[in-house]
Amino acid sequence: MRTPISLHAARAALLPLLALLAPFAPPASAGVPMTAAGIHRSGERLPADLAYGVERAFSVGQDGWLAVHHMAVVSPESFPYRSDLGLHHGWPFRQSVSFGAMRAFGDFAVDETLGKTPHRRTSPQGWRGGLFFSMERRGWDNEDFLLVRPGGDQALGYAGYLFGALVDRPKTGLQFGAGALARSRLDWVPRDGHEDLSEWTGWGRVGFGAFQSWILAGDGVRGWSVGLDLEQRSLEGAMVPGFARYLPRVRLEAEELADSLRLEWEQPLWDSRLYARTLWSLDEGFRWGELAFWLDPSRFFGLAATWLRRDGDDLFGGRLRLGLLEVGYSYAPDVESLGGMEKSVYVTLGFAITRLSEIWYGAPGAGGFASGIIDDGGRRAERKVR
Amino acid sequence: MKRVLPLLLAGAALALQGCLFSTFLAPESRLQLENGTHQTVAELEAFGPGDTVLLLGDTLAPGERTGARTIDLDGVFRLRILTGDTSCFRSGCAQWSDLGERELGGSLRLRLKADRDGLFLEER
Repeated sequence: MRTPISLHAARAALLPLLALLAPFAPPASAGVPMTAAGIHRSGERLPADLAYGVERAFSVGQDGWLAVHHMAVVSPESFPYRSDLGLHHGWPFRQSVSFGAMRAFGDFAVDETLGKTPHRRTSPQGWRGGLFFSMERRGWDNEDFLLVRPGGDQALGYAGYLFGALVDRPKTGLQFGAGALARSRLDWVPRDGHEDLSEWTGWGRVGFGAFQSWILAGDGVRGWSVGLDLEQRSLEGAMVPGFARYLPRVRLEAEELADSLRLEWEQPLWDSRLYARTLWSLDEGFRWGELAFWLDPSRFFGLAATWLRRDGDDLFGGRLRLGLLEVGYSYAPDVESLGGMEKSVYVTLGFAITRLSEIWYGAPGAGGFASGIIDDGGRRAERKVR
Repeated sequence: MKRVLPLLLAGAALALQGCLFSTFLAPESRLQLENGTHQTVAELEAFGPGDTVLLLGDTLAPGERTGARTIDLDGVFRLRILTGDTSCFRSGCAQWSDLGERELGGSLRLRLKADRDGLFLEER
């Protein structure tokens, strides 16, 4: 049996830690099995999820960032895989890494209202240019792995790589991006040969203020999204956005797989802490809804409950964020993007480091990008400078 | 560094969780079969509607047992076994018997037995 990485020393060192965690492992065979159809659906969503993640990262105009995200299951029986042969115990996986850097040209404006360092902020007045890279792989393998590609007999999964260049003008919120997206199968079909299953598409992006968009196109248009990101949040006693904190975030995306459109709507309900979010499909109607409560706008701690409707059945789940750790159970956005992961517990570790207006931020980064502090920090710096 | 160390340890534990759990909770699957019937056993397979995997290909006379063999399956699978007497394997009268679903994984020592309803596996 193949060993993914040499871990003899690490195993010995971490044995006491594992011994402490073992009593908390949930009972076996708790989750709904993953299927090939679900994992292929997940692979179809991967390019759109990558493009959306990059949109979220760029929409706030940071100088640079590094984000990592790793999903872990608590036992090999948590989410088995059902093949034509039977029910395999193993490891669903989802891992992502993203980084990028922007360099400013021209003059900077200094925000004097916050005093001297470490609170002093500067903002470029001219254009910036930069490069970024973002990748994610997701699927299921009958062997666990971290650094090498899966290759077990029942491995099934996809990897996506999005890289490109971006120019923007933070003062006006104008952004243009262009790059390429590669997607490849992580399983080898047919098994007797390592057939190259990679496919390439072009990626483009335009953003202006609250308006955000991206497009994926190869031989034809493979997907696109337009959105209005109107909500504003505040952090650490910064200026309160007033009514703007109750404005929604709305997004329309073309669904390549179903040849349909999907509409996502996130509505702030109370003081940058309580949110309702829902996803609708033009063909299928209601897909899922979420009610999320964050302890504070930084989104380090929070709780969410979701309701997923699929083929007439309802599935209820939720997510608990405890700093960099998230615990999920049938959480609707994950069930949809991963094509499974139902009725058992999984954990994700997400961490992002972002440089924004000369200040470094750390943040939870589930999904590959910090979802809270980056947004808030970016908008706040922009408003203060104007 | 003191602040970062717990974070690094937690991150490492999570990143390696698959390897760790597979080491301590789901080690390599090994199987040993003992023939407790009066028939000769030829093959043990896991089978499904679209796939078949040979687990043991040893010919076992009554009372014999195989060595512990590594199998590449960990999970719940439907098993079947080919049995007959020695002449059957030449003449084609050997028969497949469905043994039902069984969880495979870890080190399993199974004994094939027979009763009025047919063949079945019991764990030793």
